[in-house]
Amino acid sequence: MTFRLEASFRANQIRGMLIASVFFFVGCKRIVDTVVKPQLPPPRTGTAEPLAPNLNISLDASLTTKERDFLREDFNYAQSLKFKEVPESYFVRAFGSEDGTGLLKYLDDRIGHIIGPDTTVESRFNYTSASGSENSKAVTIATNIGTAVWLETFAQRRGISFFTNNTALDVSDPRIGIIKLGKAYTVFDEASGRALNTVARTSILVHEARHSDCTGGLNDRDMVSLTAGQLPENRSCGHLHTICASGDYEGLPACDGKPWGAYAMGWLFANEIVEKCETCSESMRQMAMAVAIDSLTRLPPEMAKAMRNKTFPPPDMSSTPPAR
Amino acid sequence: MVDKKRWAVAAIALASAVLGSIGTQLYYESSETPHPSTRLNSKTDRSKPPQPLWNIKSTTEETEVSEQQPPAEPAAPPPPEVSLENPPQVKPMRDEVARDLHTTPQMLLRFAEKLASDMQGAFENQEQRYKVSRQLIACARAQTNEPAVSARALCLANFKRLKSKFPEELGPSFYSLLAELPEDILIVAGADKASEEK
Repeated sequence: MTFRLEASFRANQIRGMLIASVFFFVGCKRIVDTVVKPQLPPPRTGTAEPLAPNLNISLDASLTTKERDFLREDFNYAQSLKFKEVPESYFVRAFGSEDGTGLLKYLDDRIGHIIGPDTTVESRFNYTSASGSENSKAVTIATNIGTAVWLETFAQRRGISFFTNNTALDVSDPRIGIIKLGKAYTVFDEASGRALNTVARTSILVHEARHSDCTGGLNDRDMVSLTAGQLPENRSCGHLHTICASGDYEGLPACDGKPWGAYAMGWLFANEIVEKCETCSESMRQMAMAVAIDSLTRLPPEMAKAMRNKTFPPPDMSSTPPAR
Repeated sequence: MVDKKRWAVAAIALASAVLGSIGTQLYYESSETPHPSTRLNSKTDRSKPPQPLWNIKSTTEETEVSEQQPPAEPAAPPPPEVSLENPPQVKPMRDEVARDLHTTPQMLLRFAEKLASDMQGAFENQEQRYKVSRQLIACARAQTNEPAVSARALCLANFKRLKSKFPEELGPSFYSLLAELPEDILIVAGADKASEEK
């Protein structure tokens, strides 16, 4: 009996040693391969430039002079805004102050890099995007692709690098804020070649910036969903669009499902101009009204009503991405 | 003696296992290649660059939509002219939103531009004010051509602005209009009871 046990123990020992040795050698070989393997330098993407000295927003080399001028005009416009002070208003809770300073900080915290419309995802990240996004006929003004790629790092369980300014940046936080401009940012009306009003353009930047917030973070279930190729259950992480349940856009993924999403932020910005801007031209006011009303139709009716009536809880502007 | 040997062998085996797994982990963390055990599905094949699990543009959309490949869309038709007599309709607005989910439809913005000049005239000239008011009421009531909710709300919000400036002239028609409009339009336009009381 003792002999049998000892023999079995010995066999297990040998098996364990063999397995461990295989692991050890395979592991060591891979370490050596990795160390020896030359790391490819990031692709030459051209030199980026800061949007303004006081902002951490980088304008990628792929942007045209016209796009840079428009962006600077919009950020200057945002900075110049000043509204009648209303303490504890949603605007103050969301943006920090009743003037352009708070709005500018909101944008600066959530937009890090702006790339041009002709830039392909494949050329700027070390992974291949699904077909469709590049070939789509959509005439977009801007899209926040940083959050999408950040979520992709969980789905693929690996780091993804973003190439800009001839360097590679790790996409490790949704607030990396990579915004891809669309062609419509500078040419809104193709027939006349006219550009979009600065109020409408700025409201889109406000909307896109909100996608950089992972409000409420990602829990284990969200991680499981992501690794299974699905979106996280917490739709407030990235403030993902939801399918509209009613209204003119019913059935389209063009609505906020959770409080204070990207459309709600667009509304908050535009509505402030409608209600409190005393120096705005009639044209600017009408644009702001159109943006505010359109944004509000994209919220669940009860939420829209409560926000209009200021009975809704104030926004949570935090972003808590999980530690990697 | 035998016991000592046994412990030594076990210790070496354990150390090898630990070192081996650390080595493997280090390799996969430093490598671009995903660990085979964490491979999600056949979409990530080590011989090919990893493919994203959804269309990057639609990551800000619901899964059930983003997983479907969008049908090939025909080129966008030229946008129809919009004005107070011809406010933006639901169908073309939906088509626009389907093409760009994030942005206020171009058609609504062009409508807003037209309204800017109409409203400027309405604030300055009484005759123009009556004309624009009639048009705004018809637009809000959807008497013309089945306008979109946002277009109707925009008309109502503008009529409210005119009423605020000229309450005696336009107050009665404004309140009778409120009584006949659905609540969703009143809320979106900021003309519901609670907003009015503020």
